[in-house]
Amino acid sequence: MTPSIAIEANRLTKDYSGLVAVDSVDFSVSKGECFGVLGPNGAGKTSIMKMVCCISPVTSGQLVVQCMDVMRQRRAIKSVLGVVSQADSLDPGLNVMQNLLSHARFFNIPGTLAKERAWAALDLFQLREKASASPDHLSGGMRRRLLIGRALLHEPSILILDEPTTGLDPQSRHLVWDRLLQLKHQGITMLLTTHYMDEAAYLCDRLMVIDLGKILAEGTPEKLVRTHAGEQVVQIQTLAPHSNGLLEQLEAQGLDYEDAGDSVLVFGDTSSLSKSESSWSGYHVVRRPANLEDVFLRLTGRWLRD
Amino acid sequence: MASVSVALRSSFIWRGFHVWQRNRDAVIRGWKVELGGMVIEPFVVLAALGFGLGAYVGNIGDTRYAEYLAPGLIASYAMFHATLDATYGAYLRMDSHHVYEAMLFTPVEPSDIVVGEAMWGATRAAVSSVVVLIAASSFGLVSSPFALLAIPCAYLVGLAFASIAMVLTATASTIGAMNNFFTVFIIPMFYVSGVFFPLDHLPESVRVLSWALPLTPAAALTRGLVGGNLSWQMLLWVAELLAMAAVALYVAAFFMRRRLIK
Repeated sequence: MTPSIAIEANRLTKDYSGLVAVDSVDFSVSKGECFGVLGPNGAGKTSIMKMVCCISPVTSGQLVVQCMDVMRQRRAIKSVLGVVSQADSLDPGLNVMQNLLSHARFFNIPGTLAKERAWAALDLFQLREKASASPDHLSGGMRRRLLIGRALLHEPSILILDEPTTGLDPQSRHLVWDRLLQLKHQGITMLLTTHYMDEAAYLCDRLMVIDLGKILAEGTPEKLVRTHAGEQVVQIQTLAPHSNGLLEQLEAQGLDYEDAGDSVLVFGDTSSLSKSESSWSGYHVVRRPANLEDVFLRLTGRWLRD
Repeated sequence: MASVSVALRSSFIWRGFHVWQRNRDAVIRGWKVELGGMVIEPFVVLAALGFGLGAYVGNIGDTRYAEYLAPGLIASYAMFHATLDATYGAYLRMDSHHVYEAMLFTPVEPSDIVVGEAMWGATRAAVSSVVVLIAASSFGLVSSPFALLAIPCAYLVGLAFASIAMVLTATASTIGAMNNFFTVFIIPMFYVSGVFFPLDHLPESVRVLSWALPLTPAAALTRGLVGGNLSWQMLLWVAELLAMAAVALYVAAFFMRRRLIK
């Protein structure tokens, strides 16, 4: 493993007594990169995160964080990771400032330095006036901002973000995104899971789509869109069942399409889609650029997971 | 000195101490809730049992009943405070408040949590012993300066009980399991450990069992210190409590790891 690699997984497997959550997965995250892990519920995202954080043992394969093995050097790895977990783990017994100071102690940060950094974190996430409030009295957005601020106190070199903006209003989401981009420009490595494709497209340099514990695709957001969805999408609202032999027509023209129930999606580049316009005349049609959500749904399917 | 400080800072005691500090901060933040019961109860119990019941009991040997009872109460308050916190308190922190979950994202490991919680239970026990000592001396029941050693002794008693309680906390599947621990183990032990009366008239089998449980040596040790009657046997009791704490801590750490890291 070269020193420019922050996280590397080789045939990484997690088996919860018979239930294989992560199935022989290979990936690597370079230093300073924001790497996204996308997948539906139950895909194995959180299992991967937990193994990286050393709170879930690897069943087989290898997982190395900054040249350290997660099964052998847990404390050393955990001291360079900043973790924003999916579950809200603020301490309800302590106020906001105490939450930060107590967390800093676990990293052996001296008291005065911890205070300095705690105030800086509160400023960065616009929480200064909440310093003596109880976490129970914070809004969802404030709690999430505090969790991220807490994860940064020991100046980690890798930030682990498990669905960092789930449940936030657009204002809080954008504040979080701005701060994360700032951190990325400062050179911090990020491992991010999310359900929001716009978030992944905005923050991630590279990402992988996983489902049922296996990697389905991997690359930059642009490359994934180009490869799996093309340039443009024509969304034909058919209100199933499809009459008039629409699907047969699309098939006959050799178009790349997907039957999505109440609508049919046609993928392709601008010129080939323009040539075939007559096929969907008479339908209500939306034409838009292809995006990551198209990639995600094409790769993982439309069936519900829970 | 520097190397001692470095050694300390990388030891399990230091990491456990950070967990201890977290609990201390939380209690100081909500101290008003805690204080009332902790202070009032020992006065009431000593007055009611020591003097109310004591008037009928008279002396035990040549000791007034209240004087006999006071050290037993110090030991049992240490037991109750440590056990309550390391069962219900710790389970709540672990299960409902996700405090351990956040700790595990730092260099803290499950064994550090167990050590920190046991140290915290011991501290609560020591604090409770100060209150009972004050109550006892306000009733004129303390004469020896060795009585002050009852405070570190209560710490040791608390450490043993909190460590045992952490085994339960690490293995319990619901908070209801704590109720059984109290009704089956703690409360019966409270009545047959020499807190209220000497064990001489109990059947041989109960006496043997009683000395194998932690409260009997704890009460005897405290009684020796408060009365100023030191003996070599006390070292044996200290060793017994220390051994119980060490074994329980080891077992609790094993189960806590199995519970939290999966």
